[in-house]
Amino acid sequence: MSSINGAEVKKICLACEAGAGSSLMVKNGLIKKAKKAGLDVEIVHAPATQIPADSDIVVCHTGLAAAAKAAAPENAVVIQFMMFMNDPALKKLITDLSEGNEITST
Amino acid sequence: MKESIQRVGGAMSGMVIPNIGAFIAWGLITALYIPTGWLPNEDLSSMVGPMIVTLLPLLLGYTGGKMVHGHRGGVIGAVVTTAIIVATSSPQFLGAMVMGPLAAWIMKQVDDRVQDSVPEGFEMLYDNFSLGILGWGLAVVAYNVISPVLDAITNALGNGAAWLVDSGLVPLADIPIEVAKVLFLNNAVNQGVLTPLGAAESAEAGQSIYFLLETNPGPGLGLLLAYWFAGTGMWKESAPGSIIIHFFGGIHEIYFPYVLGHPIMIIAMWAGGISADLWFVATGAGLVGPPSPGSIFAYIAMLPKGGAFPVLAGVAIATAASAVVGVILLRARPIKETDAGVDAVIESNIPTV
Repeated sequence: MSSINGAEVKKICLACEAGAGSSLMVKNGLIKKAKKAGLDVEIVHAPATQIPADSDIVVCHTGLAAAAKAAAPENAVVIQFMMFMNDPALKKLITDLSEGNEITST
Repeated sequence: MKESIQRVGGAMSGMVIPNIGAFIAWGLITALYIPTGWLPNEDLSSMVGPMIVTLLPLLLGYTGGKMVHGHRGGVIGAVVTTAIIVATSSPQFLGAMVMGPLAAWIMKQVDDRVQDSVPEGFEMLYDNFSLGILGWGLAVVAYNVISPVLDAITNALGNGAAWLVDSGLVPLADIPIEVAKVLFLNNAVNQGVLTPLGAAESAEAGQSIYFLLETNPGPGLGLLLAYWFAGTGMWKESAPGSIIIHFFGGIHEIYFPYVLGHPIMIIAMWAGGISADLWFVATGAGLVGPPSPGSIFAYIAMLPKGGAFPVLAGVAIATAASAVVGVILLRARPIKETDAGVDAVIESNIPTV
């Protein structure tokens, strides 16, 4: 099970099937939350099959988790969410990042 | 199973999605300037044919090649796609999606074996002429050997698709489509299969029902309205915001959790989708180009002249049917919301594939 300390996260990748619609939407939401929390972290979006190799954390919907896990870099932590807006998993991610908590794959 | 469909469908839609903007440009030009369009213009409408027959397949062939072997793969993919385009009579989306990646894969095999042993100073010579010569060879093979096969397959698929419409069986296609959508196969089904079929049909007939099947924002809107009226807790509260993103923004993914979290709601999706498709078949509805993303605004932009009512009424019918069935389902089988909230719902309802 991969894990990473919240303070060491440099790059987060939002993955969806096409890398064009929902991942872009969730990414923009996450960027806003990260800005509010004063976090210095790069947040990008991509298709689940083309996740950048330097991603520390991969965020995707539960329905795509298997595909994303197969394509994610070996050490990347994969965070799954269920709802596209206000998902508790995304709120927790921001909290963990700003408090430097240990983050593990879900 | 689901992963392998996602992989193949992802590769197909991956070639189409980055080029949807060009499909939309073609759709707008067609809707406006063809003789039966909103602003008929003979000069401007001369772009319609070359775009659908040449430009769009070339873009798919380039993108498919690029996915396999970077820019070099894209270039050779476009070269070989050209051979297929000129050798056949039908818009060759299938040919582009096969030959682009295949040509790039062969180029990659050659590069992997030879590129390292190219002497210093000869790299550019190798790069240009290896691609040039291989492109020449593959183009000739594609023209003479592969294009008759692809032409036959494309015609068979086109005839099959036309038969589905003529025989009135299209609404049945909604049953697998709604299930595939919420399993995140929406792009694989729409951009991978229905958009190329629709573009080929629209090039001949001026519009296609295939653009309407997966993209109809009505069923999802009805589902979300049902949750807004008859849902509980977080599901109810989040519904209005989701409606805006789904119906106006066209991000259908936003409603998938409302089905995945309470799978019986797929019946509401079928109710909306099938009744709309029956209406579309009965009224001969269609769109000129692909409405992507599936927003009501994209629908309005792709309406054929004189074809607004059948399409928009179909969206309304889908919305009403899904909303009514959705409310009944939510009253009969309320969604479980435990103390643990969403997580528990997810764990108990998401099928592990």
